[in-house]
Amino acid sequence: MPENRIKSLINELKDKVKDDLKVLKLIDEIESSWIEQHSLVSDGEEKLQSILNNVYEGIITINSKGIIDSFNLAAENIFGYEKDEVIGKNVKILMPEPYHSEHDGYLLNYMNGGKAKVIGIGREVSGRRKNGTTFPLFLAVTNTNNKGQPLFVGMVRDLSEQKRLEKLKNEFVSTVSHELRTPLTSIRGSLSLIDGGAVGEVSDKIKPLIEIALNNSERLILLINDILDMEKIESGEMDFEFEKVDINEMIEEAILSNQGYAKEHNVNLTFENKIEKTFINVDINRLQQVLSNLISNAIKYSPKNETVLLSIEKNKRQVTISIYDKGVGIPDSFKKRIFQKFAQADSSNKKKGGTGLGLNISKAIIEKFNGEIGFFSPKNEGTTFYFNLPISSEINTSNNLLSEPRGKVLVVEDEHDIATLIKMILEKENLDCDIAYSIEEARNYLKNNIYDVMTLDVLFPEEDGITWLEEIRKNESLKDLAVIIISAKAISSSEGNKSVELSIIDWINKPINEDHLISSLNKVIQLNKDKKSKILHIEDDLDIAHLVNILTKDIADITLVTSNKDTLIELEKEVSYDLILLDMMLSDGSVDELIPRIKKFNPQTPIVLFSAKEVDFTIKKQVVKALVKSRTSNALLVETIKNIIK
Amino acid sequence: MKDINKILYIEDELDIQAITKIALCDIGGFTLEICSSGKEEIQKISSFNPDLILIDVMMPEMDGPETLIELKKIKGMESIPVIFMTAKVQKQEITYYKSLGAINVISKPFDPMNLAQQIKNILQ
Repeated sequence: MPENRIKSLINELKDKVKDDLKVLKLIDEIESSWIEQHSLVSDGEEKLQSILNNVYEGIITINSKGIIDSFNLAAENIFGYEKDEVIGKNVKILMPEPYHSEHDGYLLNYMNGGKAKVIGIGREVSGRRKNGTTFPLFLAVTNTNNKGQPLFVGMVRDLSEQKRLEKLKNEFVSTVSHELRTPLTSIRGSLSLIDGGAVGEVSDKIKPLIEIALNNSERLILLINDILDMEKIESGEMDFEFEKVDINEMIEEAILSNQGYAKEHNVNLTFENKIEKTFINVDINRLQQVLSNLISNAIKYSPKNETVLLSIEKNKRQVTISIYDKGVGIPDSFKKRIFQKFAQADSSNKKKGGTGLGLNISKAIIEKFNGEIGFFSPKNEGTTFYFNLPISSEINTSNNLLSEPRGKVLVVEDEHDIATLIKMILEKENLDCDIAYSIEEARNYLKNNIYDVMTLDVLFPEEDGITWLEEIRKNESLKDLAVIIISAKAISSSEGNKSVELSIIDWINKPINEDHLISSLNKVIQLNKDKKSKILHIEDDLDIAHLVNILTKDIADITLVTSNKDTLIELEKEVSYDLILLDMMLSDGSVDELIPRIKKFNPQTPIVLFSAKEVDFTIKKQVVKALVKSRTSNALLVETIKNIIK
Repeated sequence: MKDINKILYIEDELDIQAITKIALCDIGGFTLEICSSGKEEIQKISSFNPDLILIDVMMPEMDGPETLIELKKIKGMESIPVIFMTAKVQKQEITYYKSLGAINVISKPFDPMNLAQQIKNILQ
């Protein structure tokens, strides 16, 4: 109710009761209390308005239809509109295309429960001023309610000046770096000629000085290269040419190009384990830059005559590349800063010739590849730097990357065209697939992987497929592997009998009938899904055993053993487990010795450690995952188990 | 590819000229003709009759790519191999130089002790 109306009502009332002094007094009291309250409210409003008009950021509020209902002074300055020109108009007038046309859609989508693009997040967008120019702006929107109606509060900050300065800085860095190279070319060139004896003998007194100058000019060149790289990454101008490559090849190439450096430092450089062909989507040169950076760091800090070890681990989605050195490790105080620019543990490291930018650049590059980089360096146990990269499918079907494959198939086929055809059929069905072009290759794949199905051609130049199948059926872990024969040869009656004996699911003749193959595969995969997985849990704490049992009862059958002794008895039974969950410390001693035994009996079964304390790297390397009890939630444990036995 | 004896070298920095001269003449055993700007070079080229042309990219008057384009217009020059020497060696820059007809690029700073060998390797 407006203020005047209330005042006139009060006067009317006073007039009516003018003879009753008591009532009049009461009305007076009500009036003065109202005046007091009213002035408080209007003081508050005035104060709020004054705050709104004096904040640096533009503040604009709109309703659910996008109509502007307030516009502060800073917003007026940013956009060049007077408040009265925009209130009541759609907020689109402040936006250039494509936001201008799309804004109603965003709002409607959000009001209907869609995903917020800026609300609650804040991001960089473009704005349009009254004079039609566009400019970069930071926009953060929050959603609130006013009298039951949704109200959106937008905070805007003009980024034009900041962007201009960034651009200037980048141009400056780029120009300076290029300009620095010209004199450096002369300095380094002259020194190199003197040092190389191109202009005559150099005396023994002068030679070390020339070398100092030469080494330092080389360091300066590296530094300039790194600064340029960093500037390019920061300004988004670094070009990445993505292509699909086998990670093994990348590691081998990196080892080759750093072998000389390792020799100079008397360090062995070893690639521990090649894995099956696995494709990643990267810029080859940039990946080599990261590998060289991590390998040369490891070499620099490795003790002489020790080994720097590279290894790859693979799971369904990603590969992890680790570089391990036995050096002094990273001081705790430095761990937090290690990926920062110009970060080096102490000045003595400068002698090792680094620029202090390598890890910062490596991190930026790996993140561009959608990977992650990190390290662990337990006291006195050396350092492992690792990074992981998402696995890419060999044939470029981006859809496949979106959903988890339904199963994994090994295709054993010596004819390349047919193998590719089968692979395409499988990938269309969202099945992951490896191709073995010979029985020898198939043996290797089976040794290192677990498959839901194997398709097998029977005619190979070197060996007969059926004979080989008879052989692998004797192997405990392969005796139940589903096998589909794909062959140009029709099934003979003797093979028909063997089919049953060898548990061959289906016999498909070439040319391949796609529907037939898919329906056979689907049957097997459904069967595998219905089958519960088998877990061997080695644990002496019965409470934990009970908990794990409850958590996983829907997905797995658990066999529990509580001591080293019982574990050995259980292993002798040669049951094929899908996962072994292992506590490191049992009542009858540590299980260090147990891991090789488990590996001997169940070479393909993944082992997950679930222990009270962190284990060291040598043990970690032998298992797929090492979980620490106190740091593992129930959800993480179940998730880990599910991911592995899936 | 035929043996390379005479190299025409276009570079505006006198210091770098001096270093390259030692690298290519004293160490590499080539005959070198040096000039400092694009225009001067165009006039010289027919009389010197080089087997190879080395061009710096960043030059004040006429830059490397412009020089190369001019060169290719001169009769008989189309077939003389050109190598750029430059500090600007980003991937797209190299692609650009090659698209102009350069056979390769030597990045600066180069090592003069190896420059002659580097050129021989490129030509092989």
